[in-house]
Amino acid sequence: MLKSLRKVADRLLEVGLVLSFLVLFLCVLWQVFSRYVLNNPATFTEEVSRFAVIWLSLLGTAYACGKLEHMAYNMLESRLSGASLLLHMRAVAAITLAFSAAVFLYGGGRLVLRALQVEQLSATLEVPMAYVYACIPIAGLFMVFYQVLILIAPQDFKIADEVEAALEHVEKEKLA
Amino acid sequence: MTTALLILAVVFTALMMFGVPVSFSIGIATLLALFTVTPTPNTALIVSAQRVASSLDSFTLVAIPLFILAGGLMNTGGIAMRLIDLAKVLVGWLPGSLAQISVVANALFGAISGSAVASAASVGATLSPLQRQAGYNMPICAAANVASSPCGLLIPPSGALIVYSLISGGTPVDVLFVAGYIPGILMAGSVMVWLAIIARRGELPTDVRRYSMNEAAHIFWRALPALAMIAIIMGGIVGGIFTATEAAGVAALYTLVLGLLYRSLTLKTLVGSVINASVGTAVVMLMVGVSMTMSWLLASTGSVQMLGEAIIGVSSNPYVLLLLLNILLLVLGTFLDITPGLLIFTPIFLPVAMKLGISPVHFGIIMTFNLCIGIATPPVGSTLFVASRVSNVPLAQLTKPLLPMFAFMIVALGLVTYIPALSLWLPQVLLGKTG
Repeated sequence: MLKSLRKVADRLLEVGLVLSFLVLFLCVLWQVFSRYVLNNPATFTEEVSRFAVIWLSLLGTAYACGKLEHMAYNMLESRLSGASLLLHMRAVAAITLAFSAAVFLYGGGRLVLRALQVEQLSATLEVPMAYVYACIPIAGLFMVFYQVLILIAPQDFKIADEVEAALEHVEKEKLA
Repeated sequence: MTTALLILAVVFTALMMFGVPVSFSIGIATLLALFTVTPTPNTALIVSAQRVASSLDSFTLVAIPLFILAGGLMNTGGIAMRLIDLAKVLVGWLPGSLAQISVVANALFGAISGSAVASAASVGATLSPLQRQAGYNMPICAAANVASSPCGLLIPPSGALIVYSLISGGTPVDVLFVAGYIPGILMAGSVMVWLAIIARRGELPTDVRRYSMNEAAHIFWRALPALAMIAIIMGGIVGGIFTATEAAGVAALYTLVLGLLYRSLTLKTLVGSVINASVGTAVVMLMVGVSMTMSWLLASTGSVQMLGEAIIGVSSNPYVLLLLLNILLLVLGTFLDITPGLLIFTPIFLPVAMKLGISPVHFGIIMTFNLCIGIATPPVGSTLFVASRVSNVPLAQLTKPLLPMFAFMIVALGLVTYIPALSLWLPQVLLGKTG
């Protein structure tokens, strides 16, 4: 049950990431194309791509929480194994959970509400800034979700390892 | 103010050492420090959330996901192998050639892939069987791989310099990129000089391999797709055709088309690459967001000024201060990766450097060079672990051959620090500006 929920969360974020990436990629290309080929530089591209990067960054932050990809020093962790390692993972999850809930979910949520209240608009396109900020509490929700899952079942999570990933990639390249 | 500063330093260090992700450690420490200066805790929470998002609201940062995607797509389909072949042609005639080749390959491949770890892995895995077969001293070869793996982070396009551009308050990315060339080549060169010295002393084989014009042309032709990416980016930027962000977009499009033409790219692998690039981006961006919040807190509480005065109080001689800053960064750099290192120390040290008349571009190159040396040292050094694994050399055997290489790299750092022209001459010539 929890595992399938986690899969759903992963998929939702992946869709969000690919869409935000597509938006920022197309905006940057359109900016070049419209300036050189159409001789009529687009005005919306810069702002839209900036907002897409904010969404990409926040959704990606949440996704990276689920994959334990945020860079950390494992001086302590590398000396632990078995039950003590799981306890350490729980402790780190509890600390990051408190921060995610307080700043991203609560602080971000209040920020969106305030932006709605004062009807704050973006500089060029005059879109409500609440839509831009909305990614903060949304990311917060996913972060809290993943961190609660780690508290419940840390053994289901694998800490991302840059070194292992690089070695795996080299293996794959050799086979290809 | 002093309380806030104390909380910041103590909480950050404690959390980081405990194993809390670096970006969360910075965020939590900043939040707790903010509690002491904002009227209500509520304000601190909302301000933190807003600062993280608004710090990312920059067109310069749009380049990061695009460069990471381009680098990721370039890191498949045998590009590493082609660049290593190119390095063989370029420096195969030097004494200790197979070790020298790994240095040049790291400089080439690191610039394109944007990752020191990926570069050390590919270069080490490809060259170590050849080195072993030719009777090379493997600890020396693995150490050369470690020492040279960060060269590509200084040679453009460089994600680290984009991050520096932002945190330093908008230093032009085009100038930083061009300024990185000579120092990056010097970093590689310093390792190569040492390798040549020990090859002459008989510690490395001096067999050389020369290539005929035909072979060389063929190898160059095969490496051309990768070289063309750099040509598009740097040609576009230097020629004033596009901004760094636009160049990143065009480079991403180029690698995409290349992948389709070579049929190495399927929809599934493309989606996988995009998600990988997004995660890589987000990890950097969260760090940027929380660090910018910290930097804002330091500036608005007057802490930057206080720290700056304390530093200048030690000595007002720019040469002495640069020496002290370099030593401090070298020590701290062994614990911190390049991105967090730049994000944490630029707001504190750059104002001091500017007061001493050092240009932000030159200072950014000094800091990046310095932190590059740090990522190859324990306890963090991912490249160390990778190189040890791919070359099958125990970690403990790497330290001794690495020490003289670090000494040579530090000499190169000294040159870059005290001769501003090494950083500023090329942008002056190519772009007509140095800041």
